[in-house]
Amino acid sequence: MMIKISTRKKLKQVSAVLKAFFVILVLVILYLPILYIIIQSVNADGTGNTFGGITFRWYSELFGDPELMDAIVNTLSIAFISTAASTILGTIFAIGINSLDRKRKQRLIFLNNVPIINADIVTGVFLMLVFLTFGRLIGINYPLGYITMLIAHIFFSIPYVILSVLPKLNEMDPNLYDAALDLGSKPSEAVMKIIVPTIRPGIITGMLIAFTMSIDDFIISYFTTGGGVANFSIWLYTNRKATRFHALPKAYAYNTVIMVLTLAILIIYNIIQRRKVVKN
Amino acid sequence: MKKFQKIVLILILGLSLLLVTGCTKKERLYVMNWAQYMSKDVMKAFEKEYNVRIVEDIAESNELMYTRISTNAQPYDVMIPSDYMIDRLRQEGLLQKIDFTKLENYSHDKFAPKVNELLADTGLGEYAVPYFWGSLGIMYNKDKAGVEDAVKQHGWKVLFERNLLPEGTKVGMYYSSRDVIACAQMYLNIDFNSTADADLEAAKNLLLQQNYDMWGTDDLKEAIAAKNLDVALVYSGDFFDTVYNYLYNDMEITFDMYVPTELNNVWFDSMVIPTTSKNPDLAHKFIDFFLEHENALENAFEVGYCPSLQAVYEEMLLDEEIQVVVTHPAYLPDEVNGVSYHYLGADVSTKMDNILNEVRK
Repeated sequence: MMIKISTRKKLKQVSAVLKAFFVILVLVILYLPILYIIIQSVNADGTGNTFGGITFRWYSELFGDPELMDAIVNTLSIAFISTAASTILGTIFAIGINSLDRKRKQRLIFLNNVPIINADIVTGVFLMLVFLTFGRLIGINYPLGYITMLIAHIFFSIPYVILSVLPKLNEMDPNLYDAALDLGSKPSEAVMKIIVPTIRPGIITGMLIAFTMSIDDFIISYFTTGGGVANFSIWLYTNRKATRFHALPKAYAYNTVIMVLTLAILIIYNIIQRRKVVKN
Repeated sequence: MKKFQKIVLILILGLSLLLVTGCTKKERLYVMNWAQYMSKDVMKAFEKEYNVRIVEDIAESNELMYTRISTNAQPYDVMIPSDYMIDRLRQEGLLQKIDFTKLENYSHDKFAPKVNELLADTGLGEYAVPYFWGSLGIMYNKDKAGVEDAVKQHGWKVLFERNLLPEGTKVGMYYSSRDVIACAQMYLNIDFNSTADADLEAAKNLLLQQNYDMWGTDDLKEAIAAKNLDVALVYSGDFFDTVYNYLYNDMEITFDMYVPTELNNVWFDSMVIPTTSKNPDLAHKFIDFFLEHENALENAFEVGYCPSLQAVYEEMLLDEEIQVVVTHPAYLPDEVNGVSYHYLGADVSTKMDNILNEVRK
């Protein structure tokens, strides 16, 4: 008995150590790159080979570089506009798909999944060809630019919104909508006042995914833009070679700013949610 | 529903506003350029003087420039490809001849004599206005004992005869079929513009015996600066980019570059006007603007490579801050014996790519 207990204890100890080890390993793998970027963003040595003390030079240079600021403004404006557009369109499509019979619904869900599983490079190239062909058909010889990049972002975000809204629609009691109609509301009112509030969590999830997809896209943007319009990732890709102009340290600074903003939004959102729960 | 309609309305308004602002009336000049290869201030001065807007597209390689021009992606007016790509564009009829009567600041003798020699050799004189130039060379780590002497004494040999270098020296090679084969051919004393199969075969056999520690492009310069690599084939532009970076950051420079002069590749990038141009007049004005002495000087200071205009180079020599760079023997390749790459045709390019693939295995 004694031996058994001690081996059991030992096993427990080993499993505890292993657990701790894997948790730490996963955390390190996930967060070490982020930590590295934060450290490099305040590294006074612009070559990045050694740590030369703390500086905030890269942050001021970030805002002092008009080309980079243009790229950041493009990135953010496209992210916001494409998120808004794809959330609205995606929700409408999802409601429409949900109201179909089972067979058609499955077909449309399959069609919706095709752009998601398509490689970015395929999507990028075919969107570029579509824009070029369509533009030339309607008389615009050089259509590529901000607008085409924006349309491309809306295009690749919509499937994600649909995908995150559909399950919520599935969960919803279909009688709710009928009840609203019976009680005298117009179909549009029933959608806005009954369906949308019920599926709100799905819409918000879809919105967040659309925003992330847009803000970090490189490949599709690269193919669908032109006329000197670049977003941040394109700017970084084209400028990384000229190390004397410090594209990388500035990129570290930008990434840190974005990460701090995201973190702040997440924390505020959580605090609000918790307060709501406490109140209820 | 009203709310929803409002949102849609706002979106439509916003989109149309963007469309309107995107189509300002100003005349546009489309420039295809490399990253950080032209002074923003000089470009702004040009925009102001002629009341136009410059739309600058950045390309990462000569091949990408070619794709953009041949697919007519934008109505490019001016682009700055390198020697062999200009040769290719000309052979395929994608370039307009430059009308030198429209270039007030142009004169043949303003360029460095070697640049004129290169123009004559490549036969691009009617199509190209030289911009910056440089050469290939060997970048090395000064801190590794014995490497500097070996590189300076043996030149290209150090990239192919490992026993000439001290033990444990790490050697890197440029991952580009043209450069790697040209380098091997220079070591073998073969003309790198030769299209003969035997010459390619000789380079291949030599390269198959090699075992490089690192294959890279612009990461080679950083690897040597960070002392992770000791010797590598680099372009002078890459080397000076690193030098500027280290000077700017007040870091100790522990690397240097040696340019073998007995046989070498001298590159020059030039402004050309592709056939896609809808506004060749403005394109000529733009080229002329960058030939004007003060503008060219400001541009050269910002870009940092060796300008093809002799007077600009000579004035840069007088500047104390930049002297350490401008007086470096690798900066001005006027004493280098060598020519630029010619375009050898698609067949030879494919053969070269295949050789590189085989060598990498």
